[in-house]
Amino acid sequence: MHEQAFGRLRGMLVAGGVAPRHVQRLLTELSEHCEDLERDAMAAGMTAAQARDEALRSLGSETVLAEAVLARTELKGWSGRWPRTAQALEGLVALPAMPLAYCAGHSAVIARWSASCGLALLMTGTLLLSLQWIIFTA
Amino acid sequence: MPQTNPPFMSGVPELLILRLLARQEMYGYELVKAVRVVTREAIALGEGVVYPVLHGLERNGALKANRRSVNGRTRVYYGLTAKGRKRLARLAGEWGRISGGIASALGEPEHA
Repeated sequence: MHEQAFGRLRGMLVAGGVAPRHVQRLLTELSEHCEDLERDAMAAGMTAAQARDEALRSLGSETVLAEAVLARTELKGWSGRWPRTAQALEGLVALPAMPLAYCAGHSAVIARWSASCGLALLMTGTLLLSLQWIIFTA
Repeated sequence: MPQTNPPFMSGVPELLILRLLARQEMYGYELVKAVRVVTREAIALGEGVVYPVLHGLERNGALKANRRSVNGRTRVYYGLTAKGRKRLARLAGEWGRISGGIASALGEPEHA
């Protein structure tokens, strides 16, 4: 029923760094509030559709709600409260992880390269052993 | 020397919420309706906007929340803590000073 509006709000809050537990609780309470508004509007004589529109209007647009939540830094996760620290830590973690991430993203190339190296090593070893054998038996 | 005024209207929802919850525990919907009644509809909070304020106050320790089942529905009731009472006293003092200042200014005869 209100899933579209609440879905957009959830996206804005998560993108803004609000802690997931606050997002979930906020959406639950907003949803319950919306049900109360609808019930009262229908009791006042509105149709279900009118009551739903009126409830969403009274609740406020998702932009207004998101702005109100994002203004409260205490509701944000630590990365939302200290974005510079989070960015610095991201950099520290990303630096050693980059070669691994590269390998994971290019696994086919790395497999071919490893196979080629292995084959070359095998051929060189065989050649050297053959030469050694010829020298000893000559 | 008096403190700098808080951003003019930004503290109003918080003050009203703390004042109403000092009387009795309420859930969000009940609180929004109570704000309309006590301010004689002069202040109508954006209904959804009340929740970030409630959650922020709870996070700061000014409110405590508990979920209760009432008439087959679960509601999150908010109540004031000792920290919340102190915060209310401080905010009420600030707003008393501001409103006194405005009343005084409005009561002054206009300058030529």
